[in-house]
Amino acid sequence: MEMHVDNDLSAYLDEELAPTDRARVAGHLATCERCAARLADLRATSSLIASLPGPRPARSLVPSVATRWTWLRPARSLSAVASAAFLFMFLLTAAGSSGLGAPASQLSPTSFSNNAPAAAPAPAPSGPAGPLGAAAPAATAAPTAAAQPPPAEAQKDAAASRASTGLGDARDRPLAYGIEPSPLSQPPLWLGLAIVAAIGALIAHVRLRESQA
Amino acid sequence: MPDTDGVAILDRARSGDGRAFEDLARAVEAALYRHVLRIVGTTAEAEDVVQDALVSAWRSIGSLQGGSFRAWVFRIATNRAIDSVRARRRRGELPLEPAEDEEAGWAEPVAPGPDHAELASRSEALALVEEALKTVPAEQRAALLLRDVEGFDYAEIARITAVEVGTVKSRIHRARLAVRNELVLKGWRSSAG
Repeated sequence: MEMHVDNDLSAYLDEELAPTDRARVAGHLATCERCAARLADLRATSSLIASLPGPRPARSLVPSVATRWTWLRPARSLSAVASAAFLFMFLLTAAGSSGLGAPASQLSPTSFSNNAPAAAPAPAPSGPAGPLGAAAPAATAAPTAAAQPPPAEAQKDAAASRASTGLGDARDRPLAYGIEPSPLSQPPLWLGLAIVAAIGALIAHVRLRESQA
Repeated sequence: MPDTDGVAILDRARSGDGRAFEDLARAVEAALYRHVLRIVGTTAEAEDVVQDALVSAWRSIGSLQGGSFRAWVFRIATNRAIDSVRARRRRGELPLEPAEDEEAGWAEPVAPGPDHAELASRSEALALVEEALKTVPAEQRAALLLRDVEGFDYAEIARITAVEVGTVKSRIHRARLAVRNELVLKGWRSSAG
């Protein structure tokens, strides 16, 4: 008695049987109404399952993995390098400022005021001199001495001069060799730039990480 | 889409092109969702499983050496869906399912019912099929859906579900028979003969 082919019906329906098995099942189905009816049931069931509606998700389930902020990569690198450069300049200017402080403190603004010692009068000639020669040095010395005002008077004149020219606050500023310090030599400037660049690099990095999450 | 374009997009995705991966994912999103939904049973769980599967696929796409992206991502999603069902079953959130190797006979029609062609045109018939599918064990249900809905062949299903082809053949037959029996018990009959 030929065995029924129940267990092979689905594979036969799906055309997944080896050629020899397929031929065997086909031959049996040709002579067995019971198996043929069951094959029809399975075919109809498969057809119903295939015709089920396809529910769609209420929202997109595709993750956003495309890097839309492509310019952030070079910006992040540039900010990181700039931060390091600015930090180096900060350290350089800070070291330079501490190194220049000694010479500057030795110089006083008053060194350049009119309190400078009065010019020594011209030395009297040492050799014999005629009446004219003896009188000449004396005459020369007298106007020189007369030309030098007393020290107190010189200070008042200097103050008045500075006030008239708007340099009243200049005496309060350290004048290293008499030259105004450049803004680029200020350590806080470079430290601030280093911090800003570092923050920029960090923001770019976080944004890139979020876009890739 | 020509196969060459699909291969090119897959190559770009494997190279880290996020836009290429998103294009691939959008092409399978709907099919993936309906497949997972019929395994896990709830929309919220299905959305979570599909999203996790796609994220996992993106992270490991570099390991995809040849083969079909669709089959590969279905593998990830199917495994996660079945794991989810097993976990919920262990927590008692789902009833126990019949043992996979439990032999099921052929149910006999209890009473004459509508012809299957007539049923297919009515929403009640499809709802009946949906309910019948829920009675099938998750592993068998997944294999049957991969075959009848998604059109994978037995060899692909074997790779997707990581079992032998013989196991795939057995699961599909048992699942299809179980659905057929549920329909028959509800008065359905095929238009055989």
